[in-house]
Amino acid sequence: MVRVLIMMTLLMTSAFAGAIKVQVKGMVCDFCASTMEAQFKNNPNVQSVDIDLKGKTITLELKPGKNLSDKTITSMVTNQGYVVSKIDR
Amino acid sequence: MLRTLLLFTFLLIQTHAIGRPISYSGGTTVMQNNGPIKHNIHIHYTPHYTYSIGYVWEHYRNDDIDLNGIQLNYLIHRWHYLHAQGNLYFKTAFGDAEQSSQHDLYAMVNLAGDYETQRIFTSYDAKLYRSNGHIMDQFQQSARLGVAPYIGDYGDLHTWLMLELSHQPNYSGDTFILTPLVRLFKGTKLVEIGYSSDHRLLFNWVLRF
Repeated sequence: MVRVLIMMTLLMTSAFAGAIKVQVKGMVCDFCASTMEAQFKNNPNVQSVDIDLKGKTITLELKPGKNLSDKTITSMVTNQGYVVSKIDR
Repeated sequence: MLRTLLLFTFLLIQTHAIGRPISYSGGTTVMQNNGPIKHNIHIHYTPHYTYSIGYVWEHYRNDDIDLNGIQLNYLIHRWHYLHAQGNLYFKTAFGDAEQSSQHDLYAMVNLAGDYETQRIFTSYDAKLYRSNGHIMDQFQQSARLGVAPYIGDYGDLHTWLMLELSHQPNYSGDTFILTPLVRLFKGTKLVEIGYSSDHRLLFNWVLRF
């Protein structure tokens, strides 16, 4: 029982603390990337934003205990004129 | 009064219909172009990524024409690919055209498109100017082809080698001008330096904040 509880705790912690990788279509220049960076940095749940322009990927680290749904991420990207290709957690 | 109302109505219609996503929502952009035939400053604000509104000033050296206007930019469509982006814009401006202390009311319509990856850049731009007198009746078009000699990551200095061909049949100087140029791009700052076939220096810069 204790083992199950520990496993569940570990799973829950990793679900919230792990990095989120968002691949964005059309993010081909620093202008596009800076737009995405500003958008996510302004979100109170986001700890840090790292942009990989070559991979068209944004890596988000969330603040402890915070979450950001796929729907919210997609909406934040779409609102700046770009399209999400995939989200990996 | 009727003229003011017509202008105001035109402005309102254009405000709803025109735009451009050169910046992010809430962003301000200052861009200055010093090309072979004219100097241009455009300062605009982007309320939404599909449109922006701002002030534009143009000075034509050969004919000593000054344009002061309001410009509205609109994104007609954006094509999204994983490693590429294409855009089609409609832009329009109107305001005062001045030459030798004579003043006209002018309007400009502009259709522009671009397609870029991190390696190649292509664009086409066509502008039509008309004024209610004879000061500003011009058609201008230009196309660009660019290649990035290396692929940088976010925050790196990006370098582009470009070739611009412009055609201005109503211009008093060369109607075709070819300009090789270098574009340097880092973060939200962009600078272009070139030298045209009619022996003019090109110096453009863009700043976003």
